[in-house]
Amino acid sequence: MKLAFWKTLRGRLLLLALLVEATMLFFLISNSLRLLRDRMGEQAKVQAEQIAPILNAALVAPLAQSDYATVQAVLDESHSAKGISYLAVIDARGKVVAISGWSRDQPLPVPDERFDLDVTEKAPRYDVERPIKLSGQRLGTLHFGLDLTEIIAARHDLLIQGLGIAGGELLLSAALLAFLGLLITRQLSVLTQASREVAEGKLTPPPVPEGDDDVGRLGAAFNAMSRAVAERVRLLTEAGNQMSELAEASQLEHARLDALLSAMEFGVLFSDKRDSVVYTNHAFATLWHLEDFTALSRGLPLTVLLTRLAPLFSHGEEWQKDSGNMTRELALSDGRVLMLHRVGVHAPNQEILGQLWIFSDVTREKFAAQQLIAAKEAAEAATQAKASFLATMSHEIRTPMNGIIGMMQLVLGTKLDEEQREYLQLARSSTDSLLRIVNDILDFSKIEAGKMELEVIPFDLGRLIRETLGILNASAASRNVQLVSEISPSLAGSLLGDPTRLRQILTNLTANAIKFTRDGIIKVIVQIGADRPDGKVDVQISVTDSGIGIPAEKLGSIFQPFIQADHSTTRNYGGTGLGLAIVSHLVGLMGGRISAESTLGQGSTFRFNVLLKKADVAQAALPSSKPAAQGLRPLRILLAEDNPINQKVALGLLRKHGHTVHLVTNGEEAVAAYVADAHEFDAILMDMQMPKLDGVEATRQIRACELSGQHIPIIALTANASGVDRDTCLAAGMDDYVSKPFQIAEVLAVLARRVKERQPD
Amino acid sequence: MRFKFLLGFSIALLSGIFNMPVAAENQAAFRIGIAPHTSARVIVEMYQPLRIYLENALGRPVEIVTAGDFTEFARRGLQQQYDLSVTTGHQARLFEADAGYLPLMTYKTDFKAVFLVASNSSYHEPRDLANSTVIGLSPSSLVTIWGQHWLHRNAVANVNIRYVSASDSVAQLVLNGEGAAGMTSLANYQNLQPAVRDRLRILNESLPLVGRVYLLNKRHAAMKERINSLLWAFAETPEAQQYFQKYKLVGYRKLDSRELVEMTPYANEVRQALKQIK
Repeated sequence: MKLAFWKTLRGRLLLLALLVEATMLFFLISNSLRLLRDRMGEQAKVQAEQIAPILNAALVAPLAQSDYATVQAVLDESHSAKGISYLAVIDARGKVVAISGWSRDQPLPVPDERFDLDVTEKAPRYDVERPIKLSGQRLGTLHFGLDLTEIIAARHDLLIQGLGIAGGELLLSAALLAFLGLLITRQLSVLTQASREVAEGKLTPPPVPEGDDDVGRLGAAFNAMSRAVAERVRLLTEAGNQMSELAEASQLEHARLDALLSAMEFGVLFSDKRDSVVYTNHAFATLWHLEDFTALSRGLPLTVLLTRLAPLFSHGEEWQKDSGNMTRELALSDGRVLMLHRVGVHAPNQEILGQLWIFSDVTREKFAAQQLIAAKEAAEAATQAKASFLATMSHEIRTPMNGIIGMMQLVLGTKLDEEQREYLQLARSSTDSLLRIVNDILDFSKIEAGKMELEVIPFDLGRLIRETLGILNASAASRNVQLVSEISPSLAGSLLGDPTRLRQILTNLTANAIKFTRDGIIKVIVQIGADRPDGKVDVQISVTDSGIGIPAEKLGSIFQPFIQADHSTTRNYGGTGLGLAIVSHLVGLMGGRISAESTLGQGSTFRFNVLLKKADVAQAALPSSKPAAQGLRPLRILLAEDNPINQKVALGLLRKHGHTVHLVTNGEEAVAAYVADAHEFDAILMDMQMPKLDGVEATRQIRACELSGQHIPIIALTANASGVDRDTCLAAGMDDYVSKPFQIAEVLAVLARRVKERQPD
Repeated sequence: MRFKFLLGFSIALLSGIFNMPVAAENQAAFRIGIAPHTSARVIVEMYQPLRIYLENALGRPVEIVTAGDFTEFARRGLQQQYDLSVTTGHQARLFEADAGYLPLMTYKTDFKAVFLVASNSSYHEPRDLANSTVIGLSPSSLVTIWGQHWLHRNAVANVNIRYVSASDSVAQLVLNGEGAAGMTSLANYQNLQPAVRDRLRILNESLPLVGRVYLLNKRHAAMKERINSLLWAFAETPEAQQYFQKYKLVGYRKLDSRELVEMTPYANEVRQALKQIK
C-alpha cells in the first residue's frame, strides 16, 4: 500500500524543511522591511534634524536682516537637493516670507508627529516644522517636507525582491530536498524491504547496498545486524531447546517436590516477599483444618490466612509480627501443640525470595516430654527417697550392729572360758561378715542411687598397701597362701584420694584372691604409669593369684552385680556377688579401669589403675591414716549418745582404756554440760542423730560458746560415713568422725590425734 | 544700584501688566532695529539681553532686526520700520531729522573708526594705500564715510573701495590679501578674535564720533519716558553690565542734542546715497 506523500519520510522531511525555510524567510523579509522602515525612518529623522540646524544657520542672518531674497535663495538651493519636497519660512509675525516647492496659495501641510512610511498620500512626505532661532530669539519658523518616495519605493522593491528571492529559494530547496530525499529513501526502501523479509522469517535477506555516507553506513549496519540476528536466532533456538529440556526436568522435579510435600506430614507453606501464599501442601490444610477454606490458594495474603488461623490459638499470639527466621511452639485451643520453623528463602545473590513455613504436630512428643519430665522428677524423687532410705537404713543397721559388735568386744574383754570365747569369736566373726555384707549392700545401694562419693585427702599409698596386706596376712597364712607385694620405688610421697575406698578395693581383690587360692601365692604389684599431661599419677595395681581361676565365658560378667563366676561360688565360697561390682564402680570413680585375666585352674590376675593427684608438701603433712593410739593419757570425755546400747558399748570400751566418760543423751545436755564447765572435758564424742538437738546443731552451739583460744575436739559418731555427713560434720565445726559400728582402736586413734593436737590446759 | 534696578524692574513690570491688554504673543512685535555694524548673527546675539529685558518689561514680543547693509538699514528706518533704532550717529541724525525719531541715549564708550592693515604689511602711511583696494562696509556706514573722508584728506589716490556686508568680513578680507586695508569701528576691531586681531594693525584711528544712538520711533512718543526708564533700568542689570563689559561699551550716557547736530554732514551723505539708490 503506497503511503500518501505527506506520510512518507521523504514527504515529511521535505514539508518540514520547506516549512522551516518559509518561516525563516518570512521572518527574514519581515525583519528586513521592519529594519528598513525603522532605519530609514531614523535616517529621515536624522536628516530632518540635520537639515533644520543647517537651514537655521543659513536663515537666521537673512531673517534678522529681513533679507527675504536671501532666505528664498537658501530655500531654493535646498529644494534643489534631492529628497526635499518643499521648504517654507514664516517670519515671527506668521507671514510666509519664502517658499520653495509649494504653492503660496495652498496652506502648508501640518507637520507629522512621527515618521511613517505607511502613508497613502500620492506624494508621500515627512512634514517637519522647526523654529528658526538665534540666541533665544525666534526669528521665524521653517517648514519642510522630506520626500519619502524613494524610501517607499525602496521598501517596495525590497519586499518584491525579497519575496521573489524567497520564492526562488523555496523552490530550489524543495527541488534539492526532494532529490536528496529520493536518494535517501530509495535506500531506505531497500532497507525497509529487507527488514520486512527478516520479520517474515527470512533471516538471511540479500545484503543491502553499503557506502561511506550515513545511509550507506546504515546499510552496512543492517547487514551486520541481520547476520547477528541470524546467529542469535540460532543460539536462541539452541537455548530454547535446552530450556525445553530444562522445563521438562523442572516439571518433573516440581512434580516430585509436589509429591514429596504432599506426602509429608509436616504442614508446608511457601510465602513470597510480598507476604502472599505461594504454596501450601495438604498437610498444612489438615493441620489447620483448612480443608474447606477455598480461599487458600496462590496469592492469598498472609494476613488473611493468619486471621483465619487466629481462633485456633489458645491465647493471643504475637509471633506473627516477628520477622526473620523463627522456631516456635504454638499452643492451639484444641490442645494440640505445633512446632513452627520459619526460614527465609534466598536467591543465589542473597535476595530474599520469600519464606518457608514448616508446621509439625509435636503434641505427642510434647506429651512424651512432659511424661519424661514427670518420670524424671519421679525418678529423682525416688532417688532422693532411696538416698534418704539408705541414710536411714545405714543408720538403723549400723546402730544395732555397733551395739552387737561393741558388746562382743566388751564381752571378749572379760574373763571367759575357752568355749565362751570360741562362741563369741565365732559370733564376732559372723558379725564381721554380716557387717561386710551390710556394707556391700549399702555401698551398692549408694552406687545405684548415684550417691557414692569419694573423699579427697592426702595419704601414703605405700603405707596403705602395706597395712592392708598386713591385715590380710593372717587370713592368707591360714590358707597357706604367701602374700607378696612389689611396690614401685617411684611411689613416694603423698597422693590425694580416698584411702578408705582404695583400701576397700585392694582388700576386696586380695581377699577374693585369698578366698579362691590355697597353697599358693598372691602377688600384689604396684607401679606408676607414664606421666600424664594433667599431672595426675597413674597408679597401676595388679593382684595375681594362683587360685582356681575363672572360666573364660564368665570373665566378661564378673564385674556385674550379683554375678559370680559360678553358681556354686556362693555355696562354696560365700559372698554376695557385689564386691567386684563395687570395686569396678570405685575404680571408675577414681578415673581408672579394671580388667581380669584368668586361666581356669591356674589363677587369675586383676588389674586396675586409678588416677590420683599428687599432694603438695602442706597437704602431705596431714596424716593419711589414723595412727594407732599410742601413749594416750587418760582423758575426760563428754559422750553424747541417745541409744542405750551404744551408750553401754562406748562407756565400756572407753572406761576400759582408762578414760573418764560423762554421758549425756542429747545435744541440749551436751551443750549444757560443756557450758557448765568447758575445762572439764578433753574431747567430746558427739552422736549425729539425737532427739531435741542433734549433734550438728549442738556442735555449732558449743563452738559459739567457746572463748577465744578455746577449741575442744569434737568427734562425730556417725552411722552414715558418707561424704555428705562427713562434710556436714566438718562444716558444723567437728574435728573428725568415726563411723559406726566403730572399732575402739579407731576411736582411740582419733582421740589421740585430736587431743594431742590440743594444747593441754 | 540694586535698589534702582528693583525699582525700575517693578515699574516696568507693573507698566507692562497694566498696559498689556492681551497676551504678549498676540501683540505685534516691538522691533528694535540695529544698524548692521557687524554680522546679523552677532548683532542678534549681542542685543538678546536687551530684547529679553524689554520683552518682559513691555509684556510683548520684542525683535532684534537689522539690515543687509547700512543703506538698507537707513532706508528701512526712514520707512518707520523700527520701533526702537540703534544706529551710528550719522544715521541717528538722519532718522531724527527725516523720520522724527526721538534720540534717547548712547554708549559711554567713544565711537571711533579705524583703518586696519595686516600687521606684517608695508602700509604705514596713508599714501601707502594708493592704488590699493580698501575694504569697507556699506557706503552709508559712518566708518566708511569717515574713511573716505580720511583718504580724501590725505590725498590717497586711486583707491578702490570694496563694500562688504559684515564688518568681521573686513578683517578677514584684509588678512586674506583681498584688501590693503579695511575700515571698521574700533569696537569691532576690539571684538575680533585675538588670533585675528593680533594679525592686524591700526593704521589710523579717528577722533571720537557719535556712536550708536538709541532712538525711539515717534509713534511711541507717549512711551518715551517709559522706554527711557526701562533702558536705564536695563543698564543696571547684570546682563547689561556683562553686555557693556563684553563689548567695551561701559554703559549708557545721555545724548546731548548738539552731538547729533554735529553729525549732520555725515547724515547728508547718507541721504544722498539713498537718493541715488532710488
